[in-house]
Amino acid sequence: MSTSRHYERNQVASGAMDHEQAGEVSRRAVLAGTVAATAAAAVLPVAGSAYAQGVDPSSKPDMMAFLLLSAALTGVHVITLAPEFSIDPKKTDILDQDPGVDPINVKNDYFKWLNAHDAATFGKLLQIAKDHRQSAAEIIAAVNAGDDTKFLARSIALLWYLGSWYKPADLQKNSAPGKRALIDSQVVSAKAYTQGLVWQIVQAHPMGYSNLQFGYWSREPVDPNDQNSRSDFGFITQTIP
Amino acid sequence: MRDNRLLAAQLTTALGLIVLCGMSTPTSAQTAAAGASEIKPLPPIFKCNANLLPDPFKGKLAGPDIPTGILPVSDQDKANILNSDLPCQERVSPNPVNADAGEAEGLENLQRGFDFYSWRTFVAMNSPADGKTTILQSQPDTPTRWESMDNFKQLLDVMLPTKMQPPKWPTDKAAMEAERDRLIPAECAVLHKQMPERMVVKMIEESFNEPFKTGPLIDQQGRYAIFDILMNRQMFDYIMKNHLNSKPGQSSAANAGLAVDFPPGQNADATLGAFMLKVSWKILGPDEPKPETFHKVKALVLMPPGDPKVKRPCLPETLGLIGFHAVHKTASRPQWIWTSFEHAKNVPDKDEVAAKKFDGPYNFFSVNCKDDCPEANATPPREFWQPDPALQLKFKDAKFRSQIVRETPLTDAAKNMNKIFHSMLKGTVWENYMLLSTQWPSVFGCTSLRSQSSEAPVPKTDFMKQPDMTCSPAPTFFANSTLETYSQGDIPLASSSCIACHGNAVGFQTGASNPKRGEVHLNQSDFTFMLEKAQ
Repeated sequence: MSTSRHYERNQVASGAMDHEQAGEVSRRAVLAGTVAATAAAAVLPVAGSAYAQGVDPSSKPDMMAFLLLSAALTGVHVITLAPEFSIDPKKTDILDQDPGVDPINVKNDYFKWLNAHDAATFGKLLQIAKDHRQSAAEIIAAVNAGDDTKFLARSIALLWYLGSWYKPADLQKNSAPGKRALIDSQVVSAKAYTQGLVWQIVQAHPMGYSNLQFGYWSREPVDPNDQNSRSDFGFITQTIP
Repeated sequence: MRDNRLLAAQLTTALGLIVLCGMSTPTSAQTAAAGASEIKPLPPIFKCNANLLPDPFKGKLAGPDIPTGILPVSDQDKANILNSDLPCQERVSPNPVNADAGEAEGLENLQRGFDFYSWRTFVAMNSPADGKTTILQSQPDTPTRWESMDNFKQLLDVMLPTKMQPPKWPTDKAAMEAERDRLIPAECAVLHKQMPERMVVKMIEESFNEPFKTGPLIDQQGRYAIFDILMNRQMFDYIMKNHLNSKPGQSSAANAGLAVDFPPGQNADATLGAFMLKVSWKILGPDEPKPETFHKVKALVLMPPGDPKVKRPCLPETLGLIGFHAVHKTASRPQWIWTSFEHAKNVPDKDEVAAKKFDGPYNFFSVNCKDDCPEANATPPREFWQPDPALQLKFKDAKFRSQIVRETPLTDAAKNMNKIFHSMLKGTVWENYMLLSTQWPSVFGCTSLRSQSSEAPVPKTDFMKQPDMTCSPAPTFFANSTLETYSQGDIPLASSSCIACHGNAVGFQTGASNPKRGEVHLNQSDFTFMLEKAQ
């Protein structure tokens, strides 16, 4: 899939830290990016990485690697995935930065969930993110190099967007041409249910939960790419091709 | 922050060294040093303090024990804190003042900053109103500053029936008293004349029924807990300026495009901004086991309206403070800062209940229950919720007592902050009150989007911040056992969150739907339900 739009990205992961440089992209592109992230199937070799084992959510490098991986897979800025994340200019390596702890902290829940379900492959993915931390395109390429990482990556993208767990094996089974079976999924937690990125991006809310203002339905949605808008969406889309 | 603190520490140390070394210092220097640690009465009227006052407590509070060296609090630090008056605006930082002392960073340090702000607020609010004595001289019945009619006004004295003249809030005492007298209900008039300084609580449904009409709270003596809401002068002025004190005013054509935006507190120009209070009271009868542990007021309580044929009793009661929400809008936190205190003996934590480690007696929990008590946190029987004028404020089901448990125990950091302030307030009634936590909007990029720009057009607060105007409240869930008794927990949107709930508040403005293209009708009320009480 050398024609994947993901290959056109450069410095995405590092650029993701600078929300002043939010790129131009439409909401459609955000969603298209999601689909592409889950569907891309390029096969590229992973350059001689020693895959880490025993990853730890309280380890800043491991959590940063998870955030970089997630930003590359979802196309959503790190600051949106980890709202208390901030850059310390004295630290030149992104892995040394502090991912921060926010009151919801869904990133920790997802990290633990993934580690509990497939620690080995998750460790591989984090190592890929560490090895290719300067480029989301390279992360995507490396992730797609093996079926184990590719399908767990798809599960991760779906986890962030929908707050639900789709088993990598089910996604793999369903990836054959012409296969369109319904895939079972599991809502990971009440927190995850409310935090799905899909709701932020389409500016809607899941059934039974809303922090949107009274009367929001009467207003036009905000363009995620409009840097002059008064929405938070300037924080999103930097990593979208 | 750090630099100023260091400077202050250096100055203090230098002064201390001069004295310790026995140098021939001028008498005036000694007097100045002694004067600096003197606890002084706060002025009767609030004056917010824009100066930097970081918490001086060195070490990590988020552990089971208070780090050594914090207690006893030095006279100087104590004076700085107790004399500081209300903060104009929070000053918080994710960076610890003493990282080498193991202080936490990030969210934990920010929470600590807000909790320190909350305790300062509580002390300033509850200092004596007389302007002559300090909080350390407070007796249980010493009138506090927030109870002064110069500082706060009860909501029902603002949202008056349209047949009455609109409310006023004069600045001279005689005119304030005249306005108070004008608003005394007929049922209370005789009693009021006998003792005019009594607080008057005019009950409506919200005065006994908890949020979302989840039911009343019944104490261990079988009486209703009572709730009241107040606003400061800045809120009142904004309401009156924009004709929000009545339904016709709110729904007028002139207000169709108004984005309600109460003034924020700011350090930059030392303005206090909007403040609202919600308090809860317990009726202190002769059967109260420890009445001296409560801050108390003499009050006239007008029972809520019920059968129009029955005269509403106006009851002379002694009320003990059991819960205290203080809510402050600041330029950097336009979702307001939500402080919550309660009486330490209201209820046990669920952990304490599980371990059967009780330290009662409690106001809303019996330690002697076997099979004869209601389930924990159960609401009273629905058919008896409405107070019966014949029973005054005794609950109809004579056997019922609320059996309330705190679902979310206090954090170690909050407990330690409480211990520190209790040590400073030792011997006063205020050592019986504890900070539960402080809720604040946590995502800086969200809260500061436009609100801090002095050049931003009115409304300065960004009400278009989708998808989440609440900016991720921390802690996510937050409840006071007396004010959100039945919505404790951690279920999204069902459990209590000050900001998330108040983010849905609206008034009676028209035109929320189907605006013209590019025209925004917000019909929000800036995180307060007060405007819903307009008549």
